[in-house]
Amino acid sequence: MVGSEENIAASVRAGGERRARGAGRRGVEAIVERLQNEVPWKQRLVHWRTAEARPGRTMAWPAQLDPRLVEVFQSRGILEPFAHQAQAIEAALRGEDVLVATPTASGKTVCYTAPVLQSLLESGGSSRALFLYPTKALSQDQTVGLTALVEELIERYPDSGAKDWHAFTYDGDTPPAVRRTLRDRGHMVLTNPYMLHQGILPNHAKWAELFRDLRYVVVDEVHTLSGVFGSSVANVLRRLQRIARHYGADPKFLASSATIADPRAHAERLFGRKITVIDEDASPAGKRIFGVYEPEIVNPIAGLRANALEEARELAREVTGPGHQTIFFCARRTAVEVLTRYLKENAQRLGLKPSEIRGYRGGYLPNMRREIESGLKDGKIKVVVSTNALELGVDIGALDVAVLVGYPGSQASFWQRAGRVGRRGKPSLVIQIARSEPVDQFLVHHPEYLFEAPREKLGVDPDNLVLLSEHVKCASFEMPFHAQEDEDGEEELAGEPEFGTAPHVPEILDYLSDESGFLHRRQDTWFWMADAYPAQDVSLAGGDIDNVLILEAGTERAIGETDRESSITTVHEGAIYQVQGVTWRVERFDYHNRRAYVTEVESDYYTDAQTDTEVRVLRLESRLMRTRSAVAAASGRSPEPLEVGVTDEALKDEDHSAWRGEVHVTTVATLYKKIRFYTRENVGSGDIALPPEELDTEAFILTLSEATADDLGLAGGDRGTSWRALGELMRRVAPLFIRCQPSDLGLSAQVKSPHFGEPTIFLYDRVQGGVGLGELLFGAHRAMFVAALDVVTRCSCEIGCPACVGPVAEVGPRGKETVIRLLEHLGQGPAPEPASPEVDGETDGPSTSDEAEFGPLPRGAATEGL
Amino acid sequence: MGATPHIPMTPDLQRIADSWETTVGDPSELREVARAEGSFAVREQRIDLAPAADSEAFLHGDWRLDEVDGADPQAIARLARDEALAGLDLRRAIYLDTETSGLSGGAGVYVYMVGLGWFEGDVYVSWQSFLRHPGEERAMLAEVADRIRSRDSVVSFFGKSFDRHRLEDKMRIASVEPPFEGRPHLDLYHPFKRLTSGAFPNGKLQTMERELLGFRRAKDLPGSLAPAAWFDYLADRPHRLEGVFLHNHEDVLSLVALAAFLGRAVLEERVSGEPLAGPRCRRAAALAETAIDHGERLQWAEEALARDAQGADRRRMQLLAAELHRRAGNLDRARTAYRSALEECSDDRTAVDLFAGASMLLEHGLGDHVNALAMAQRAHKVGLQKGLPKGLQAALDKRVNRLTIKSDLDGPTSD
Repeated sequence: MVGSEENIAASVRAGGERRARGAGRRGVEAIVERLQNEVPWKQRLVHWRTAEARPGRTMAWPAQLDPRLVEVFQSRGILEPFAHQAQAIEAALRGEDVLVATPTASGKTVCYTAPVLQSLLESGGSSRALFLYPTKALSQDQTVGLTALVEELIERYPDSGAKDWHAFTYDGDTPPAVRRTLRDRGHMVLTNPYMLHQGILPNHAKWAELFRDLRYVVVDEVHTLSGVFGSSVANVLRRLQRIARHYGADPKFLASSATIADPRAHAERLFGRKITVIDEDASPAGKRIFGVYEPEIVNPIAGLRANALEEARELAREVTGPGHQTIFFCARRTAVEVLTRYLKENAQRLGLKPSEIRGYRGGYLPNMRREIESGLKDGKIKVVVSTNALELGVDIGALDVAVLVGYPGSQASFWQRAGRVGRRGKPSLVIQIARSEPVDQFLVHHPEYLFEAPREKLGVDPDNLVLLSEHVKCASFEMPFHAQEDEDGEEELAGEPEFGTAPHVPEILDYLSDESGFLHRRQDTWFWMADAYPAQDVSLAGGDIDNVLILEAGTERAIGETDRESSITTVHEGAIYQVQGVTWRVERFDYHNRRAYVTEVESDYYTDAQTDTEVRVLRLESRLMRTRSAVAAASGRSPEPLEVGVTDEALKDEDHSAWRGEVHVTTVATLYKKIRFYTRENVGSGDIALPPEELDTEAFILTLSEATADDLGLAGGDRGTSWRALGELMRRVAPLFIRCQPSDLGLSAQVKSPHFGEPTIFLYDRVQGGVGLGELLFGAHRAMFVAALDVVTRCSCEIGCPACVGPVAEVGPRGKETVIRLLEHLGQGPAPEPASPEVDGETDGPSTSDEAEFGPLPRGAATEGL
Repeated sequence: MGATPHIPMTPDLQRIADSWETTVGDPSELREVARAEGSFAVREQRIDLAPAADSEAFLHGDWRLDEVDGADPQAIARLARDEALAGLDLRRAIYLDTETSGLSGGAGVYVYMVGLGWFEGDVYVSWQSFLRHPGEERAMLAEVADRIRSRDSVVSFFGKSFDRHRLEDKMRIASVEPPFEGRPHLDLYHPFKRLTSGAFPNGKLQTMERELLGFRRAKDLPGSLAPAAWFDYLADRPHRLEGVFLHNHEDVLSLVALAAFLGRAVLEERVSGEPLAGPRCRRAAALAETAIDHGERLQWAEEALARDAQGADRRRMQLLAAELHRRAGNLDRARTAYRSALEECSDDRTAVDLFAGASMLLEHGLGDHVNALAMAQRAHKVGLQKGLPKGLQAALDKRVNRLTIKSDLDGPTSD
């Protein structure tokens, strides 16, 4: 606290009385002291945890590492590597595929740059490496870092040959003139999966120099490679390996990840090979203070808590200021815009200039993002409000305080966000504000969950038939496939260790030749045979090809973009689109040409769209069923001995069943509400007239027999609402067990499903073809019942609130009670057993349910980079 | 398998396909070539350049193929702006044109026909290799590479940008050593663009052969249908393939005649003394732009103006003539040239250079700093209006500043 007098003066000039009062107390620890001791904060911050500063554990540089490289790293401040770095480098130098899964800022870059540079030294500059980053920004960042290392090496060892080594970024911004040089002379090519997919692989002959000597493929931030994006990238990597083999190379993978559950399983699915995992973080950390913030109850009867975004705005006056840097993370783009606007309007009271407060999210144009990133790095920007766009390793330097408005949906994301703060040797603060969401509320009561080993499973399914077919098509363009007969006379792929392990590839290839005419089969070979460039039509993240451009009406100036799925709820005519706190009204949405035209307006409201969803069963694959007699026997009410297994007879004795299957979903945006800023009151509405979005996907399905439903009191007028509340709870607690956002899952709750003829809940993967979330839900559903029950029973409300089953106005006076009874019944007692998924007397017909839209699909960083 | 791949026919394709005289079955006159890498098919046609006395010589449009003998390689090198062509012998070159299964590029595109042409004594050989199925690719590429290597140089139309890269890519994938590196390659596209720019609607091969060689194709399958024709053939509908063979054969013949044409462009007449077809003003301008000797440059620039060049060409030639006079120290003629050019137009992009040049002439040649300053200021002003690149505008800025000081030093009495 040096120079506090000066600071007081400065603060008075800048900000007024409030700042002056607080100005004597500075720094993160002072903020914490205030929050722990002053009203109202001390009541709202219900849980504190401090991770004391931890020293690093270093090891000697691996003996195999070239001493010249050791010297270069030492000159850059790494006298000795942390244990995990040394282990990773050793494993890589032994020729293993390596994954380093440690937190942000633990020095993962060294783990892969050291082996890459070593291979260049050993090969006299002939070896090549390809680096894949999930976003364009990251690859540009890293090119600078690599070049600096090489320059250091040149300076110290002019004869090392390093002066001929080049590191290049290859992305959409690379000018055509540079591309050629880069293809022939790029020793280290830094790119993203999109460019690899659409630019490099289909033109591999032009990259022959790279493939021929490809020693390493570096894949950074592999925890972002989940869901449809991850499954697509896994296929792109299959294509990469296949081409490298054609040119005689056998590259090794060097991968890095945030801390995730079972990193080995994830990496092995992604790369399709055995991998050495290093996941013990030996880097030092400054003191880190975590606070869990529970907004106060504003309506004790309904258990309604204050809005988290409002709380963040209030909290800002304590945690922002001219002397340090603060980052707010919001779940949705809309929230980013709303909070940025609030904070800018309040800038003076915070002792800041409005220009020192910025929003940051996907959909901003690259120049604006670069400007914000450098503003954060050089300290000109004091406050940034971001979506998960700043979760990844884009270099913005270390900040001081992070406020997470709502749980980001996974432990990995939580720690990535928390990792944005903490300067060397200085304490940092992370505050997690709980929303009225079941998961957030669960974490208020179980904060230990955040600090335990990660539990969510990352969904990656490279064999998803839709994605696999698309990539087999792209791969056929790149090189013909050949067939051979296996021992049983079945047709299989010849010499294809990657695609050969995937199911149905010969059938896909025959389909592509016989039905769609893309291929020509001659004897045992499938040749590409169409005047087309398939990679152009295959999107990695689902929808990025079809992005909707948002243009200013009249000038046609680009304002931003959005993906196709969310376009029907974010840029429909009448929608308010927000950028950096400026509001634009959508005047015209040209759905077919993917363009929305907007006009700047002074709007005091934003819009929120609602959708109708219809789910139809296409095919049922697995079923787990519990019989009523099993329940009775377990509770000692039945004298009858239990039959083992599930028989046909038993099917009529169903208590409840869990299913996994394929469904067809139709979503129509119906209307939008206008919601006033600050007060959040509904000030009007309008209709939306747009074509439906359709999707075939995988679902987890829960059915309850009529008899059991009656027993549990799921009857009468509030039957539908309680049943739906149960589905909603399941959806919201899912992120505790599988790596997804609630909005990755669609929900349809039917009181009497036309297909099953009984109460049914569908939780489906909101991606065409599904990426395995249905299967993960099927596996985790019992645990989800237990967690959901915990949320509801611990909730302080009396008869239902948004944090558990929903407000009483929605679920009725007995809703909470009914849901608790249902969850107790489902989560306790004997576990269901495998049964045949055949259903008699199907009456297959669509049914509709109202569904609140939870905003754009958080494809997150997936859409970045292109 | 058994099922025939379905390839959709658009109404347009259908109409063209129907109008074409269909061949039934595989294309005729194919000969199989077998190599270690496999086999593929070739159609070879031989054209006798010295026919018996009673029959007429073969003509491609108005041109005989042996007119290549009258070509001046210096003229070719100059118009193609490629010194490596100065020793070009068109009799020892190989003429190349390819047909591919797609225009998009990428590893999945097949070069399914390579048309080559060359001279063997008094015979012109048209050699068209063809993939009867994609598995024959490697053998064909190897043979094509060998044949290209067996000749001194390559002649193509747009081949430096297209055919060469398609072949090289495929050869790299098939581990066949590409033959192009270090071999002189005459790409006719650019010199012909230079000779005719503005005169014809486009710079395509078919435009050049029609306008310059007098060659009209009796019937032609548009090149854009080449991919579909091959896909049809592979799906047992070979009816359009003859069209591709003919199209490709005629393309290669046009390369030979156009190369001969280019070799006469400086003389502006054929060996027979017959004048060359094509736009005369543009040709003179092209010769001015490509001449190395200053005297010759000036002569062609003035010739272009004398031939009543119009539009952008006229402005460029005016500027060129004025600058050449200035540099040659013909101060009066230079002054006249600048004046007459600026009288015609003083507010286009060329005017910036004319004003700047006039300023230099006044300053260095005539020692008139005040008027040199006025000219520089005009150049500066028009430059701003025309959005000159920063560097050029800055140079003008400097010139204005320097002349402002100089003319001040000269005192107020100067005019």
